[in-house]
Amino acid sequence: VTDCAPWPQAHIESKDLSHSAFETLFQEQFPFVWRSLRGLGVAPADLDDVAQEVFMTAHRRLDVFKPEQGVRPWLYGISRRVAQNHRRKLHASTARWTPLNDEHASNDAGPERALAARETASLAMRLLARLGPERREVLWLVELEQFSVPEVAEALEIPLNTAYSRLRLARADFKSLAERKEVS
Amino acid sequence: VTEPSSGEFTVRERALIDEARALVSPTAADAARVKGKLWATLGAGGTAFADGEPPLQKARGLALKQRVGLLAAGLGVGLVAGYELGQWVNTPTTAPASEVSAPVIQASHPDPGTATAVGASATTPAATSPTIGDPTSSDPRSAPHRDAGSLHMGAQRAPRTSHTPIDEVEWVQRVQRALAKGEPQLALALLRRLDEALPDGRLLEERRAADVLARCEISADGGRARAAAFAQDFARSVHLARIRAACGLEAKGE
Repeated sequence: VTDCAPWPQAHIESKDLSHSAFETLFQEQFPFVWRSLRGLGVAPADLDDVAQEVFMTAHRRLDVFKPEQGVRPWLYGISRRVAQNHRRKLHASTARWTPLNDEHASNDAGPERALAARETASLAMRLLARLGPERREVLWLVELEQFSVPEVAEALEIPLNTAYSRLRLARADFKSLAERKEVS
Repeated sequence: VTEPSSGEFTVRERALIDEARALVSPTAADAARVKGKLWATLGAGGTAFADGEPPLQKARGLALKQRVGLLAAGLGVGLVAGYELGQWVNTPTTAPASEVSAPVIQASHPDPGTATAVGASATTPAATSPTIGDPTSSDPRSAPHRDAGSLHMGAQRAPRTSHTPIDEVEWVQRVQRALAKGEPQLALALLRRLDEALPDGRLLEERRAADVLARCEISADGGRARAAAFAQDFARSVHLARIRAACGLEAKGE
């Protein structure tokens, strides 16, 4: 039922291919890139510039894109490198991954979001912040972005078994943290 | 109830993740703001794409167009293949048993308070919808395994099985939540996983309705055609009015 083809064939064959196709790429993948950058620890205030840099890089590196790789693992790899460079520029190598709290949420969630949902989301972000970065990254991609584990391995350039292992451990950590939170 | 050691998240944990996802998702204003900056930069001075093609790309010529075309094809292939593969793949047989557990999609019984399928019609057998793969009896080691060597993107499709543990009601609820939050791509991804695991469920009407709504929301090709097909197959569906509205389908005289 669900063969998703978000890139209309018409764009590929039309005269204004580069405009339409790249615009479609942006429209389809911007939310994913934005979330990924947030997951990689980019501060909300910097998201605009860093997201723009990701798509600038993607635009420059179209010639090395391999279709069999998949667009999202490719974009995630770019996002990782851009986020890393961003951290270096800020001399923030010691900066910790910061959970999204209510003040950050105002830009993302919109005024209509119910308070309870925001609190739930904030709790989830705090729990995610307590995971180790490697496990968090795998959990983020699988649970938030619906990556398959092979896609995760591709995006992070790690062995498949390692990806599975990190996912299992990350889920266990998250469960444990969530249970403790519920108890407390 | 999901076993703590099974790995797969429970309904509550999934809800936490879903809310976190919604919280960190950009708004339309975020997209417009970044797009404006990006287009201005690529167009070298704010004239980006004004004539249908940015100056930078004009200079790069046809080769770039071909690359974009390649990327375009890859987007479709990557998304489809990426989701279709691996989602239901269990631990590779080469994985060290002591380190890696099988990432079985474990059944998660829906919360009693949320057990009713969202948007379910009067004919929806939500209360009797099957929970396949009872976690209390499922053994990850007995689940089908695939060799790690066979896991190449876009190469193979995981075999369909009616034994994959997945709760249809809960999954449809996730789909509906994604739609309600304006995330049709996520809804389609979830539906794809559900189709792989449970091609013959009891909520096919709800699944097809959600599929059509998601496609019409993202203006994906085939959305209206699918809406028309849905109207033909489920002429008395409670979802039909919403689908017609969302897809711009005119109601036939009844």
